[in-house]
Amino acid sequence: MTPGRFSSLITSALLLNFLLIGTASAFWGFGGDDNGKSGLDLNRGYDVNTVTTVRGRAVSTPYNAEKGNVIIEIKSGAEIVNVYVGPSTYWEKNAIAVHINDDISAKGSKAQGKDGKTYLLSQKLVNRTTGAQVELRNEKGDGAWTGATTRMDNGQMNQGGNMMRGGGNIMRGGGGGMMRH
Amino acid sequence: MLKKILLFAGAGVSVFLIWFAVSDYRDAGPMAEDHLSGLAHSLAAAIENSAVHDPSLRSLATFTTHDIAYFALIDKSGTYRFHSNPDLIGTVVQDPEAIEMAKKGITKADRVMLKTGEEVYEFIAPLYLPGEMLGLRLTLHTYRADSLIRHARFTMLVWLALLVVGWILAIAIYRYASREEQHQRDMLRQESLAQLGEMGAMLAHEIRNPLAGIKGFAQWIEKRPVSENNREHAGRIVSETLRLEKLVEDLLAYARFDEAHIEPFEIADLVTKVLYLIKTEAEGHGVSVAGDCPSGLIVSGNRDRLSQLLLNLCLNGIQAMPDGGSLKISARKTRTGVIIQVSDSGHGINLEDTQHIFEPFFTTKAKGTGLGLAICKKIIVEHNGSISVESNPGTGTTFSITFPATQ
Repeated sequence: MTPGRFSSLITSALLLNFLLIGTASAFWGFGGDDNGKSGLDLNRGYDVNTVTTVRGRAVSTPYNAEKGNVIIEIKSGAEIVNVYVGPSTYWEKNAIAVHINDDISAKGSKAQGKDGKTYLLSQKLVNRTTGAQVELRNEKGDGAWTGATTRMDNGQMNQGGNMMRGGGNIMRGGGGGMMRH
Repeated sequence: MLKKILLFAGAGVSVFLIWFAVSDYRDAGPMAEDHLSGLAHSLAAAIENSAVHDPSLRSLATFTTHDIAYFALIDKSGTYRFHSNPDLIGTVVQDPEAIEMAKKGITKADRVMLKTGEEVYEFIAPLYLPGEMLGLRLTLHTYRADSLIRHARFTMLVWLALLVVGWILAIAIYRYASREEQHQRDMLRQESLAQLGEMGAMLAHEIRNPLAGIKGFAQWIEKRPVSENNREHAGRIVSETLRLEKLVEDLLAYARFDEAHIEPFEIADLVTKVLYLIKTEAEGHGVSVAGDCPSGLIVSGNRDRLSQLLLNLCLNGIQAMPDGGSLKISARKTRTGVIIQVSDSGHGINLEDTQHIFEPFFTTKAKGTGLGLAICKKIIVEHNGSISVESNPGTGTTFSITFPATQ
């Protein structure tokens, strides 16, 4: 065996080793799964047993976490809660303004991810600083982005998906949206 | 033997480390469960104590810890008497199994999956209030307890990775040491051969002159014998001195190094010359010779030495075909230089012999000096080329000589 070929074999073996370790770490839970590092089903998951209301100061503005999910970090007491507000495609069209240090209240299903962080799959989000609020899921926990019907603050029913656009003092953006009558 | 002992020792240590890492990981699971079980019992006792002191169960609303995902108290009618989600208090429990367990006062602990996708530790146990038994359903987050499992997994992965890397390094070191050992052996052998060549050359010089005298006198006696017996004896002396002369020439050729006279020349000219020189010898053995060399192929080298190389290979091939056959010299250009092949249809060489045929004094012939192919190899090495042999006993042999490209 020539030295060059031997070196190639050693390099291949090392690469294979690291690849296998990567596979193994995913298998044993280090690398998360299809639901990302949290291991939670952020879009469809919701358990009424763990529903609670969290109130605190926003320590981040809404940002795209992995897999296009939008998260707002809220500091409630000593705990940082990652409030999930929906997929980015939905949130971009139905967002309410959230600034750092805004007083935020969120109701939803609380869960602990595989990454050790606390998540709240929010059903309703209220920015107490600005008064804006948005209902992201119905009482059963079905997300508005799935087409489920949620209730607007003025008592009207809101069909999910792109029809959530608009909103006056509820949703970000100007009025005149199709949900405003 | 030492290598085998080391190999078995390495394998033994590896197996032990794998066993150690895996058993550590396997123990981590039950330890995490024990931790969760202990925590669940402690919390259940605290909840029961709080419930006993406050039959309205309102105080339970403030009973929270970071470990609790949720907890609920279920009465025998299947209604939530208390739930950490206040919206569910007074509602009917949707899980018939939970109702059944609350009624029977069954204790159960297991990991379950919540609808959020989180795996939690669920602890179900009877909770005794004055005059009433309720079912406690307590679910705990598992992340903190599972840190034992995660740590054990990480440790196991590190051990396995270290083992793999260790084995790869060990193999690499072994290969390197083997090559170094082989290199040292080759160096020693080369030194021995060089010394042998020098000694042979010195002896050849010393032997050549007296040998010429012996041959001259023997030839004189052969021509003018005192008796017929003397003619025969003198003839034998002459033939033996001729053989010794050949040996002396070979020894001198092996020891010689002509760095001078390096010049570029056409291989086709060289092949034509060699074919001409062997023509008579080949015809005498019933061997047909052929050349296949395109014009324009140039190599740099000592023409005489390379001519000697090809001549040696061709004569070797002819001698391998005592009953006739065919011999061919071909040349062609390759990506890295030029290759010349000398092929015969002779009896071939045994696989075992092919490993030694380029060594000095190795011969399978009754009267060979064992220097012909050694000289060939020496010449080609002097020209920074290489020589190899491919032979199938019974069908023939092909010697391939590779020259680097001419600069």
